[in-house]
Amino acid sequence: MKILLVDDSKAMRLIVRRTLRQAGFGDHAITEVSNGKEALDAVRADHPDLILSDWNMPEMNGIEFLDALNAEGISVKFGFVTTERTPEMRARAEGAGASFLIVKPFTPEDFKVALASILG
Amino acid sequence: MELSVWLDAAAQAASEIATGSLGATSTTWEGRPATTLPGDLCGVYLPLLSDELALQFGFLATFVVCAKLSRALLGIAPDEELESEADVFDAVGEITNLVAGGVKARLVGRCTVNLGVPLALQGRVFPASGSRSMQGVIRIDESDVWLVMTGTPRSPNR
Repeated sequence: MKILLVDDSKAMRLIVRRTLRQAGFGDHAITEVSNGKEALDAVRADHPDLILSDWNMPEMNGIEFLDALNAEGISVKFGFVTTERTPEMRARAEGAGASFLIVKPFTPEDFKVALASILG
Repeated sequence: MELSVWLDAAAQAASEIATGSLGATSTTWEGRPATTLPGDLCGVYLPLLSDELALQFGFLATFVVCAKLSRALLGIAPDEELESEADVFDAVGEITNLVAGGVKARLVGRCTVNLGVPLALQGRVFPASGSRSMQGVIRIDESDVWLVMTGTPRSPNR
């Protein structure tokens, strides 16, 4: 499967990649971009199967990115990997169609639980 | 809500992140010293926007400590060099983001908080008129990190 990783922090993208490997999902093709605007272009060009996105990013944040996907009628599995963990944010994410929300800091187990049904 | 409540929440969140994500064995909240911020610090400020206050949360330390914490976050060996100064600030930005997320979680039910995008800096920042600022030191293992909360009241007519 093709996974698109969206986070403005290079450090966090590295950590997410490593955690995916530790969770047993290291065989998938992962591409990276650093904000929602770049991610939207990447989705149009590469059609990923799964998007893992941060929430707070410059240019276009994660929820604006998800709203933009919805507005274009693009259907793709989408999950947030974010420090945002309030009930309001979780409800906002689910309302926009996010499949899951992984809270930073996270463990490989958190990724296993969230992604098992999607990545097998 | 008093600035000290925000700073105490940041101290608790920083301790949690230090012993969790950074693998520190101990943290000590040294509290709020009477001294001003040292001039040789660098780090990251991140906006926290609440109903009443526009805050800037600072996570500051010497560059050596910033690099050490970055290596801890990224799982890089102490004798291994990070790629660049930008990588250090990027990692410290992520640490600051994690701590800010912890602050927000601790204040759920008391106020609404929106997080902004982190900004790295080297050197001293001076609050503008109308701003209040408070800082304290958290010792993470043998390293001192300064936590800063600077707040400006928000206009009711915003």
